[in-house]
Amino acid sequence: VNLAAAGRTRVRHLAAGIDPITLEVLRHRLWMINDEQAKTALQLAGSYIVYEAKDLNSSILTAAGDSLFVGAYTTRVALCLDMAAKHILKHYADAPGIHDGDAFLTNDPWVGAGHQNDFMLLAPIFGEGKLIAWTGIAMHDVDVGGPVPGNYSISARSVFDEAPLIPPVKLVDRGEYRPDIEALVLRNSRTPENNALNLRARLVAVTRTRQRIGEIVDEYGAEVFVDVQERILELVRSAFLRRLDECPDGTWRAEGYIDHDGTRNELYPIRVTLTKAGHRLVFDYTGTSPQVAGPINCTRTGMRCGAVAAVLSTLCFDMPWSPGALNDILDIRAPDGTIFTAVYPAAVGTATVSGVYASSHIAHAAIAKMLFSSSNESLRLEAQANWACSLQVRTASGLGRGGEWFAAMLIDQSGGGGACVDRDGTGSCGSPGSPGLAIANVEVLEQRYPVLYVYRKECRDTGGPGRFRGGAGTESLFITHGIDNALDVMTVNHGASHPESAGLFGGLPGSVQGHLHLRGTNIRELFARGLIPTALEQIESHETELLAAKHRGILKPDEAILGFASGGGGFGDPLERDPELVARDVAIGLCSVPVGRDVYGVLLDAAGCYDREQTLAARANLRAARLQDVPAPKHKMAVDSANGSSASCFVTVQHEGTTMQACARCGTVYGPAYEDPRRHAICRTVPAERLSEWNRFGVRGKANVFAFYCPGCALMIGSQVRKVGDDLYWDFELAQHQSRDRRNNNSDVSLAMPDHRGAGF
Amino acid sequence: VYSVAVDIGGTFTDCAVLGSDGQIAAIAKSLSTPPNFSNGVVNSIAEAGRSLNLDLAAFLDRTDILIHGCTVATNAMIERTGARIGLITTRGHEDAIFIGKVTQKIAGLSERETIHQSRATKADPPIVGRANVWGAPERIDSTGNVVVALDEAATRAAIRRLKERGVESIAISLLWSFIDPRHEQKIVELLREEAPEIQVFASSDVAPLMGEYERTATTALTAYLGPRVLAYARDLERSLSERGFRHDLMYSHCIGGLTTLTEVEAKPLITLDSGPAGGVLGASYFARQIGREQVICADMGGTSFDVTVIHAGEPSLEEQPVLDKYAFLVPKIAVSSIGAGGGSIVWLDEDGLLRVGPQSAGSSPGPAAYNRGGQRPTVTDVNILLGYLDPDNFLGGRMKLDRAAAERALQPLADALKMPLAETAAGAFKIVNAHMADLIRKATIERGHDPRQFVLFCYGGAGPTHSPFLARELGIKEAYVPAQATVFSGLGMLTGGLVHVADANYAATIPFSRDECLKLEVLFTQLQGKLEAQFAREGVNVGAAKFSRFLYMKYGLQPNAMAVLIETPLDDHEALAEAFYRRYAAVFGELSILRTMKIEILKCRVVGRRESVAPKLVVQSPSTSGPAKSIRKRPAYFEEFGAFIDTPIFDGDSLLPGQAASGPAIVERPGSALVVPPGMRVEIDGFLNMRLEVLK
Repeated sequence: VNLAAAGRTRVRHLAAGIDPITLEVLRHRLWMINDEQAKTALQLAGSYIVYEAKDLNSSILTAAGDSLFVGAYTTRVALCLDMAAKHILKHYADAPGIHDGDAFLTNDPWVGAGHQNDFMLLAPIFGEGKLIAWTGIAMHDVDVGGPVPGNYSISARSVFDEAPLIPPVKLVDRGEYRPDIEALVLRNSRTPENNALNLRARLVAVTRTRQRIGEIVDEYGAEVFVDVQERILELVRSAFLRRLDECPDGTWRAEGYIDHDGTRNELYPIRVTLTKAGHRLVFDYTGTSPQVAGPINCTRTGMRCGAVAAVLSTLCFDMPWSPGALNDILDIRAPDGTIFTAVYPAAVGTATVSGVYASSHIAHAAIAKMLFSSSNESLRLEAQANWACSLQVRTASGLGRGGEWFAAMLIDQSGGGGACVDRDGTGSCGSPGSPGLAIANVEVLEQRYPVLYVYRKECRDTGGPGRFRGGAGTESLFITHGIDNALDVMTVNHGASHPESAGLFGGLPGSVQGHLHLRGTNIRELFARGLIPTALEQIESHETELLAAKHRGILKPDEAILGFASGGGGFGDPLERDPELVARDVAIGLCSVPVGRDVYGVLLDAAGCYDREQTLAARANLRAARLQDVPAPKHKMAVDSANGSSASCFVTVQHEGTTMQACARCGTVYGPAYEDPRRHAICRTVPAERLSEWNRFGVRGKANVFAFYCPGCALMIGSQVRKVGDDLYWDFELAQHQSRDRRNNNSDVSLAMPDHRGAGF
Repeated sequence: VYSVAVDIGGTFTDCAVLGSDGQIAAIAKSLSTPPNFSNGVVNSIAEAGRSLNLDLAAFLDRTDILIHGCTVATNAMIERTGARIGLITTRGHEDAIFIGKVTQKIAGLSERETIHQSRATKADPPIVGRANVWGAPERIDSTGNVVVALDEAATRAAIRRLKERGVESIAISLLWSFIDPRHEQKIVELLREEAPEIQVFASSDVAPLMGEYERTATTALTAYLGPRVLAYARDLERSLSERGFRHDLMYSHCIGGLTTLTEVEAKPLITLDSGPAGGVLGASYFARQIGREQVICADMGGTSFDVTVIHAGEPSLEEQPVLDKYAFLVPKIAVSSIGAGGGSIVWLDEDGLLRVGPQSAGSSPGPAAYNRGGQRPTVTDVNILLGYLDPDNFLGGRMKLDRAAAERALQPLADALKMPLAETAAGAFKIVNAHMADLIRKATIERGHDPRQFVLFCYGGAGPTHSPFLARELGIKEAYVPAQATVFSGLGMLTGGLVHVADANYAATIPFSRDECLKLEVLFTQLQGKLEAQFAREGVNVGAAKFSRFLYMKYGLQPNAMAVLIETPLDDHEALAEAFYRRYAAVFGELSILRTMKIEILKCRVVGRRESVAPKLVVQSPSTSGPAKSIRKRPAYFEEFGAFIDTPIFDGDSLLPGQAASGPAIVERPGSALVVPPGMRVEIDGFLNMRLEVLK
């Protein structure tokens, strides 16, 4: 054996200069390092919203600030880190300079933070004397100062009514920790101990990542490390392009509303038009309401995070989350000055649960429609109706059992997940784009705060009806306990005035959500009699007030707060739902008898089983009502059930040389395939309170739910929720079937209501 | 007189036998026999007896210790064949186990599974249906006050309804029962009166700890799996005693140690993960013999690679392990896993990159070289092509492997990569090693440890082949491959002593008052008393028990506490705080210490351990120090040379203590092959373990 040869390494270079074995080895290692970074911070963090709601995330970025990996925590939070790194690179390179051992701290939403609570720490990583990467971690602090505990200043009219902004400052300067900067940040906060722990958590996490990347550089050299980063981005890019190739070119839209900006209880429209053309994916938020006075706005960065979060969790479910790879594929647009692109000094304090969340929500809805347009059957299974439209946040503050002052963000409720093509949505499912979100145990809440949870359960009729229904949201009721004083309670949500969790392809929206303030209740009297109420109707109270979507009030000892969270949207026509499943849902308390009867057309016998004859008759009646006064359709084609999925409402057929869209059940021809079939469907308003008993608290003449039906067989093919006076809109158009005229001018997306036939199902 | 351990695996049931002289008397394997696993257990014992020329009765008659690693709970969970259960909880909170804190939807999933949002579902099917959950009208608050008294009449009626629904066991988990168990205990009484045939598990007995979701899940899992575990254990004990065994069986405890049926009856979940627990026991035993307290235990089998970290002689524990999406409150040895094993498939992704796992060909169809229909190349095939495994001498020649089939399977990948076959195989070998090294890095670094300061114990069928490369990749200087790498888990159980754990909820802030201090002292004494009573009940006569006290401490505001071993008086607050800081800094670094922040205690724990029950393994004195003699040579590929080198092969079973060989070399034992690359050296120690070291 020639021992001299033993030192010779055999490395086969690819075009990009790195062998495939080393690439695979380092790709795996870097992903593990990023995951570990967030995990470390999670173990150290002191705020409840971080360790329960997982309101944190980490990222490894390239030297240019492109995001190489983001963690599987709250995606929206980490997606801004790249913008912050780019800001620092652009503005700080000369002064104060970017040096080895630095770490920058900021909470400025115009730099990159989601809102002021999301402090982020970013550290440049140097190897062999050069900047070779960044690492960063963003995390929600409970209180970062300003007029209101917890910083949801719902009545703010500009950023000056909110928590102070800290543009990037060096918390660590060339390896030296700066206690003066720490003091500056903590001095503003009502919860300085908490924030101190979180600062250390961020620091320990980025320090560890820096060390571990240092080990890679020691082992492989800086050049290989930089090459590997580029190759990882290239690989994810090509995987993502393959995903896009599985979807047809076309345009898909989703619209909705954020109700209440904190100063006025109105419906503010939000809109996204998703256009896929070859290897380009455009999210155009044009048409969204101008920025508002209250704090529901987000900055352009927030909107971008919302859209990218939706892309990662719907289109990148089987590939590494490397958003930097998507930078030149995604185009996320809107003019300045909208709710999603608020200009300084707009109020943005609730952005993460308002603007950012909503931009993600409608992007999810648009992407689901694109996925379902795919000819790849397994990709169609990824199409999912909307999850609950927003987190319901409530904060409580006041004097606790020992007389000490406290401020708490109660993370105690959850909305439902959206229905899929092949199954019901998951109940109490958390928040899309934050897989690790947890709600707290009742015991934890009761131990920390002077409250008692009378009940918490999955809530009946919150999931949107459909062939597969949306998952249920939670319903919970709490009272003060162990104190005589009142508490200051604040609630923030949207989707309280109108159903905002959209259904898909005939599925109906999840219910409204909100909080009821019960005054003068008999709960303590019931307790004394040995009774525990488990539903609103079991409680007597002098007054039941529906709280506005943004509300601050006082909770007294004889009062209670009931929160009910929206469920996910449904998928497909509810009249096609297996009656057994409806009977089961009634039995386990997730569907009411009236909804079973009026929406699903399922009638139950005394034992709770569905009655076959009566159900068939009820469904026939409901279908007849949908078709009432509608002339029989002109064109019917024989449909080949193999053409399109069984879950689909539509098939394409050839008719007189044109590709037409027809009903998958009865063959009724809707019209040219590039057009939204809804244009030729029957449209009726649906009384929202019949979809869910909870909707009676919301929809009050502000918005209508519309449903669309096949004029041939009455199949429900879609639903839309529109503010009174707003037009309906086209959901999708596929480029392959589009006429040239239409392709050249597709600005007209509103859909008149020629076939509107009044109320019905 | 013999000591016997039986460990059930997916394919084989292993039996290890120790003589009273501390020598390994027999090792036997017999096919596992699902669903009646006790047949396989008896078969493997009989097999071991045969090798000692004893029939089963004679062998059992001469056996005074029989330890069993029981996998019934895991199997019943996977197959959802647990008991039909009822759950009684506090009215208004019946859905806690279904809501699962929301996070149930991703509990226990890998990051890759977690990001698949549209597929996030809760436990499916749940172990208890909504129709079998009943909310009792009762309420106790966080300070133990009764807010609503228990409605006994309603409870009796509900018990009768559950009975009519045919439940076999009932879990009771009420809010705040760990503060005041009176309502739970009352319901237990009512159940005994109304339905004495139904097994009852109360959360205040099973897991008296804070957090209603996890406590309820623990109790429900106990009720669901307990009856199956107990029926199995009783059946096995009966069948063994009919065949002549005259003692009580012992069971592998998931915290690393042994226990008896009396504890298994109350806490059946402690039988989970007996296999890994056995391996960890064995590794810590041998590590102690060589004075090492920092050990990485790595078990590489056919489909997965499992790592456990032993720090300061104690295995890392998981406080809230997850079983099929249910988080539960039974501390268990922490095992980190990835899908990397002999059966892991080598493939090219859509970008043309070489990938290994996590999919596995398992044992059916198995690697291509098994010729059982597997067409895709696996890590085992790669090891054959690199010359590490001898296709003609696998399992001591009992199984022939087909090298040509391995070649046929890998060749298309090599063609696509435009790389020679050998380099392709070497690339796959390097990738799977890197994945395993990443897992070890993660398991050590996230606990604040530097892997270079550890000794690596590598076992399982595929472990020996990869261990030297893992050690090298991680900068570990010393690694061991145990003599009985393929039945190491069973052997490990033979080195274990009885262990019991008792936890109690305890909340306080340091510094605490004199009263608090007394309260804590009383609590510790009570917990220790509980364990002493348990030891007394078992009546196993082996030395006095040693008790260790732990406080679970954290900074105020933090959620999770760290176990801190308490060796100072409880009223020495500074010492308690310092113990916490030291522990904290060990994991997170000095930067994480915040002396201005108050320290809180969440719970306390006492662990009681007794000496090992079986005779100690004896060390063989070096009978020779001469170099080992190779039996033949064959070409094996080493990356350093970029070529196949004619490599000496040694017969591991004939090597004697003190004998050594330098790489390149391969030491074969039935079922495994240790590959010693250039720059490393192997030596046989007094237990016939192979000790690897990196040469300077």
